[in-house]
Amino acid sequence: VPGDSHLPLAIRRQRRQPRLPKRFCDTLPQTSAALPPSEQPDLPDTINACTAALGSPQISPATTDGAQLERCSPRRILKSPRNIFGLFRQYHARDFPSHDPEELVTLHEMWDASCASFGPYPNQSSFLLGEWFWCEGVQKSKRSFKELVDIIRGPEFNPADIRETKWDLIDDQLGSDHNEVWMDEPDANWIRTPVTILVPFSDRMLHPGAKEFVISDFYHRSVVEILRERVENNYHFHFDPFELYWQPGHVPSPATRVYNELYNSPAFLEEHEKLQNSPKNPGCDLPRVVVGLMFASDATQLTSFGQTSLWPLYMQFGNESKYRRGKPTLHLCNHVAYFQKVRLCLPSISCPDSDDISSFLTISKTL
Amino acid sequence: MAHVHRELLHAQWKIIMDDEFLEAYTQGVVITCFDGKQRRFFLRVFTYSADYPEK
Repeated sequence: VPGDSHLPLAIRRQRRQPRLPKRFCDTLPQTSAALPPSEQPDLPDTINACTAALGSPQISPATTDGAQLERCSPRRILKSPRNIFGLFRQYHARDFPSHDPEELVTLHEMWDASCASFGPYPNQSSFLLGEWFWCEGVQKSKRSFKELVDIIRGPEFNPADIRETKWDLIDDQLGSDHNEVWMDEPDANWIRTPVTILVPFSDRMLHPGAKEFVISDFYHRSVVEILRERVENNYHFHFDPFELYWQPGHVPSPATRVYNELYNSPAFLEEHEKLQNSPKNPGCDLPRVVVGLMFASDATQLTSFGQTSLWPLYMQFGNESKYRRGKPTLHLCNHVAYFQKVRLCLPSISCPDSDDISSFLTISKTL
Repeated sequence: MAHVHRELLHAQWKIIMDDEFLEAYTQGVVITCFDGKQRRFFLRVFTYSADYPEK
């Protein structure tokens, strides 16, 4: 080969390229195959029809078109093409949805590793040195020296990276505690509502009967408000549920039902069916969408030493893929409320009949 | 005490599921989506619970 004649013969010689055994070959995850184009007329027409029907009693041409379409094309079973894993989607609708949330999903959206940030440090090499300086204690030790040497010898360390690092500035930033802790205003859209409960007192007490207690600091947000926030400008929200099937291409076999998201679960589809078959809102022809609310809650201790605790209520939308919901940087888990707790304080065990209820029963202030 | 705990939690859930929530549950709420199309959204609560099998 003329091009590399300056190389020694041993390197120049053609080597056999070792190929990875087939069992080690991995196919990267892929989204479903693209949907065929929707034949449905654009939805803005339907909106016009809706508003036209609301505004004027006479029927506009758009409305009759829409009604005819509804009559002549009943809902049917539609199958999408299969992807390389043999997975396909099956819709029960009049037409394929005009919007496919899985169209633009790439592998990069499923993980967080690529967007690792080193805070005020410009790169990993600087971060490693800075971390060593701050976390290694005040005295020099052999172990600490070895760790420093390990950092410098490590495969990720690049001396060119730290040439321009402004160490004093970074330390100032680390100390100032002002860097982007809250993305939004701390109290934006939060509502504080007093909660009233009736507490019964037994006949043996001085004042039996039910008494009202008011707990003042119940913080919560409007679920509808959160939904609005999450749906506007969100490409990935699934409006149309579907059944997912698996049918590998090489063996003729019946398709196997696959469950992997809320929006292809039987419960969601059933609810979607019920909604589509229910009578429409008067004068409105907009497509109707089920929103899957998933609540989760668990009280949590905030400090290692102390009583401070929170009891948050989280909510996620089942219309989002679990892979996106599971990615912390997308902030798809919403805080809806912080529950208040009743905390029992016993001043003295000896007088359970004491009517001094205010010291008996205090409402914990966690916020 | 258990009664008071339960009462308080239920009272707080009552506040979360306010009239606005119920309206969106029964009548739906119209929101303009990213594609400029309007859709009527109906709130539904789903749970998915799972646990490792007991030993």
